[in-house]
Amino acid sequence: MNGTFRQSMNWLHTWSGLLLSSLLYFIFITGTVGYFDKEITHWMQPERPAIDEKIDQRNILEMAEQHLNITAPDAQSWWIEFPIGRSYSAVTWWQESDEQGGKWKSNTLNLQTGEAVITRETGGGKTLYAMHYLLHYIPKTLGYWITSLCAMFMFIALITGIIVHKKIFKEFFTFRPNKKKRSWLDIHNVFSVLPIPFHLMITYSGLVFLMFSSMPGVIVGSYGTDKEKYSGFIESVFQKPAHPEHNHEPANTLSMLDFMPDIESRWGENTLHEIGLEGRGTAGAHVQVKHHEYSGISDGEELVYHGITGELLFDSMKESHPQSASKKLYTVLTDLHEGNFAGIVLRWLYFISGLMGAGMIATGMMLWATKRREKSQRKGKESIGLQWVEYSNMGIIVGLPLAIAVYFWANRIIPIDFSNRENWEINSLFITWGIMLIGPLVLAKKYSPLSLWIKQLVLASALYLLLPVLNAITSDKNLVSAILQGDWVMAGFDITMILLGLSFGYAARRIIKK
Amino acid sequence: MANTWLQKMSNVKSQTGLRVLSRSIAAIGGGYVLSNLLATLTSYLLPMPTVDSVLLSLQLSFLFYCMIIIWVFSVKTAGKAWLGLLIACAISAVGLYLAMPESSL
Repeated sequence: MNGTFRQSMNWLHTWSGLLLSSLLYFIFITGTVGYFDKEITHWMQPERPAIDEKIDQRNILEMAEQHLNITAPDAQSWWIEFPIGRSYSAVTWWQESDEQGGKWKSNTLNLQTGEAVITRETGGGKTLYAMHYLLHYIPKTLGYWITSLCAMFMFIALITGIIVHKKIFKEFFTFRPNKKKRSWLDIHNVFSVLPIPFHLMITYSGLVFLMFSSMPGVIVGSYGTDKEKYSGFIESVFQKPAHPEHNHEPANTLSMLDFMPDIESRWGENTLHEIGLEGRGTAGAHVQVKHHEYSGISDGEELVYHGITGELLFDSMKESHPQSASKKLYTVLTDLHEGNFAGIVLRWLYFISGLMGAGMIATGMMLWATKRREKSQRKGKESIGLQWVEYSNMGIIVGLPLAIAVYFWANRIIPIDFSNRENWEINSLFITWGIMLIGPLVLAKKYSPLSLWIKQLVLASALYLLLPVLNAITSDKNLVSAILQGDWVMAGFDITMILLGLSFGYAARRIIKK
Repeated sequence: MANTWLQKMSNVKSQTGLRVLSRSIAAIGGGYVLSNLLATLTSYLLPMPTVDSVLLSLQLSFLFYCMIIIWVFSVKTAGKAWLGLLIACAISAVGLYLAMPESSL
């Protein structure tokens, strides 16, 4: 480009950050929310029984097997997830036979009665979180490609951002409030510099997550276009522990309960995350057990037993076959991205870092618009494009979190037996977001941009502040009872919503005061 | 609106716009092709089992891509960027042909 290297990098930083900023903001927000996906689902299914970790896992397993015997007697796969760690309910999973469609189904159990609890259909935290790499309404692969492209733009913006800011650490301690352009730049630096290791890690590992789709050329180079060779490669990357060959000969399988004494002699009591019986009723049956604790940042220990003889086939503790360097790098990157290992404190840190990433993108957008505004005022020329950016900025930055609040509202307002209610929860999110994007443009003649900012912020604030009230009215749970019962997941959600509501309110007040 | 667009298209500013567009296509499209070629070449050259070399090269490919994009935007003209990309693609293609394991020929 014309000018010095630093000037070209400055240009590249601005445009790679700005061009896909709305999508990047969407990816950062929904991905960040995903660090609390299970907690969100817990709130979105208020029918779930209170968390009870005290019940012995043997009793739970016995109950679950009885339940599965009645609901899924023909299923070849049975799994039981125990209420432990971030799993807040006992859940049974089974896979329908191929004739029935081969779908996975699940039931939440009431551990007092042993019966299934009828929970509402909801996308929960899972759908919200999956949008950060699948987007929505589009085919899966296209979603992977678009998010990969966004991540690449983000990575370029980060690297060029580092190159451009030579006095990066000095700038971190600079804050010049009430100076418009300068203030936006200072906040942008705070959101970017301190968590820069997080931003680099999350962006690069995001690229690595989707690399099998986004960089197919490298795989084709060694494995050709043959589908079987490709799946051979994928299988050797995601090696599964030893288990018996598939065998459809009917055979009498042991009960999962029969394995508990041996499991407990190795791991102690009440240590299971989940247990599963695969190939049930066939000669290839095996039982898989997963420990609830993570080992370091990776998945926890695992055992595999033969489903008929009861023989131990695999113990991850003993068979720690050395991983190759490239496999290790891959595992470290993807484990860091998912943060499954993170306890409550680290999880909040992940959440805050993610929000700072979203804040970095949002302040970058604001900074660009403010700079342009100053320039056009100097020239005395009004640009329609700039106005358009200014109005859509608020629809993106405030409109998206507002739409997510509406997603939670929809969860409680859409009737329980409404068909496709799960899809309508998501539809209401996107319809709201659409209105928040288009609304300001329609109202642009009547109201000043600032008053529209205030309106959206106040609306977002009200929607979040009233969520605990909505929860109390529409379910038999509420903030007070949750605290009294020690249900900190339910209470934590409500408290977080109040804090979010207060933050939006505070932002609105700041603008009004000016 | 349409008028201003037409006016803009015809003035000098739009030529800068076209150069930026050309450079962007070189960076995104050309960079993508070259980073795939380079990563494939790396996967052939790394002294480790195929699974591991492919896995590592895939992970490195985004570093290649990033460096190429930064380079494309730092050279003086868009023409030079295209020329550089073409030469680098040609060299890595020849390298690929030479390094390709016989089994995949």
